Amino acid sequence: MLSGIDYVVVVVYMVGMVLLGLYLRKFVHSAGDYFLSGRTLPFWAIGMSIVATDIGLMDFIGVSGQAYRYGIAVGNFDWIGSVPAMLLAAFIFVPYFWKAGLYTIPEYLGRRYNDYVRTVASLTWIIFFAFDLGIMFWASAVLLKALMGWPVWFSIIMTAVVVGIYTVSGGLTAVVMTDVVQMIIMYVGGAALVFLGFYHVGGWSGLSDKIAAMGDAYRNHFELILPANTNTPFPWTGILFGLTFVMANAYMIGNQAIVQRCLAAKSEWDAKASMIWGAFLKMFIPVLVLFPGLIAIVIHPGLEDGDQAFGMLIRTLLPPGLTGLLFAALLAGLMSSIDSILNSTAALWTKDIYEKFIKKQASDRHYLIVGRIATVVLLVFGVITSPVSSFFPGIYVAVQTFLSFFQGPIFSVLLLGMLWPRATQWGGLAGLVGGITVSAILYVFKGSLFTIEDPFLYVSWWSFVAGFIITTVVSLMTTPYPRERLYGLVYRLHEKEQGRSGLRSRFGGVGK
Amino acid sequence: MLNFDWLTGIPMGVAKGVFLALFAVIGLLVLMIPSDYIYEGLENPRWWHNLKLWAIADLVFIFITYYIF
Repeated sequence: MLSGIDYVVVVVYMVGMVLLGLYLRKFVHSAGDYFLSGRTLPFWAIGMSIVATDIGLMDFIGVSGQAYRYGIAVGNFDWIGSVPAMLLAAFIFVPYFWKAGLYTIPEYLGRRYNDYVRTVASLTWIIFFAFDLGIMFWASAVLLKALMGWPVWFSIIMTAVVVGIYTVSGGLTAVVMTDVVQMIIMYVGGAALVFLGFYHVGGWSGLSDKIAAMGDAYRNHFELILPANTNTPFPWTGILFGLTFVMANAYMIGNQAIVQRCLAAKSEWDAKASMIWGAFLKMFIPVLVLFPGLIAIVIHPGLEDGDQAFGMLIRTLLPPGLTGLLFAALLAGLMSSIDSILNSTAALWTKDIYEKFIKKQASDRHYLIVGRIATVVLLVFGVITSPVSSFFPGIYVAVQTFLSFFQGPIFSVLLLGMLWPRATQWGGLAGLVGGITVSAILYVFKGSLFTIEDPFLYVSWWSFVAGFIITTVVSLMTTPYPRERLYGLVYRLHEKEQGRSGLRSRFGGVGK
Repeated sequence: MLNFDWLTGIPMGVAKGVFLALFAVIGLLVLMIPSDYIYEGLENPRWWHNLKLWAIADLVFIFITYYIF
């Protein structure tokens, strides 16, 4: 339960977020301001926002729960599952997205392939984000109920109101700037818990010795790389093929909620730098979300549900004041993820669906209003659908399950689209639809096809492979766009063509 | 095959080596990026604007983490 000082900290935080959002409203005059901050954001704010968006309250609860059950292998998601992908995004994809002046990633797919690909990708993300909102709301409500005894629906509606006010008011600028504040609060609050936890268990050596003494069940708790035949969801083969090669790239390159703020950078260099700076910050996230799970093994051994570990640790370790700060950090994690999803989904709806199919060439002011209405509608939908996630046994795994359905296929068409000029519009469409179909089939028959507990990493990999092969085969059977049509959409294609024509003219000059 | 059963015989030390080699290869690829591409969008580039250095720092950090654990 929170004390008086804790309530003060939480209320100050929430009021501060609302006021910041309302203040930033004065900078929003157009759809470009609402969705892309007028392309004025510096790299440091974007990088911090990426991390805050990526790490939510679910990670505090879900990752610490996974660490409680399986050990540090879950940290792969923030280390190898982020850094290589963010570097690939920074140097290959983001600069081209930024130079193209895009609002959405499906917009790139539309220019590179055709409007069918754009629409399928956009609708897929919209549906995913809409249900993801519900999962996040439910996760927060479960935690708030455990900590404070608040009724589930009170927590959900309170969070929705605060996030709704500042997101609808200030658009992406409010989202990013509140993310900056929220990331700092998350780091400080999370670090306080980890510091006190380590103090309680006798430091790193105390923690590792005590867990090692708990028997064979905890033998692999300090191994990042687990055997291929492990019973956990994190075999090294799945981490390498499913996470590193597919899911991480799809998430950091194809996820609108992540990449949209890079599109709002004030320069191409800022767009690139934001991803690399974000990768650096993200490497510290496991310390905040993973170590509490390990510490809880020592302090609260034998929990039936690992997801309870984080909440119990807060109650055990934190004094008044710090409890409020960590509670604010948890709310910050939740809000920073929800606000990004709201703004990104509104962008997808407004630019890829509404502007494309419902009302073309309306005024910029009109699209701004549509974006704001879409934000409110999504928020209400997320609140209403939040109980759906209670049907899934693990909150975090539920999200990964959703993601793995289409991450692989989307990344396959993005990769081939950016690096292979021969990829055609029909190849991209077939690869995307075929890959998602393969994902669905793999999930339907997962009991007979896979041996590990939850095969979402393998499903990602194989659906990526399916999307890649289908795109390649269909592309080779269909007519590609002229190369000039692909300038600015395929990595360094224009530069290479210029180099070739330069060589040709020089060679011709010598011959004459 | 879908479970990568054919890789279960690989020793964990080799598996770890695969991860470390991946970071090293990414580092080499980063170093091969043309410098003018790195600085695009800047009017007065300074040495600390060199994003290759930032990326290598990220990679060194993660390499050490995987080397230890």
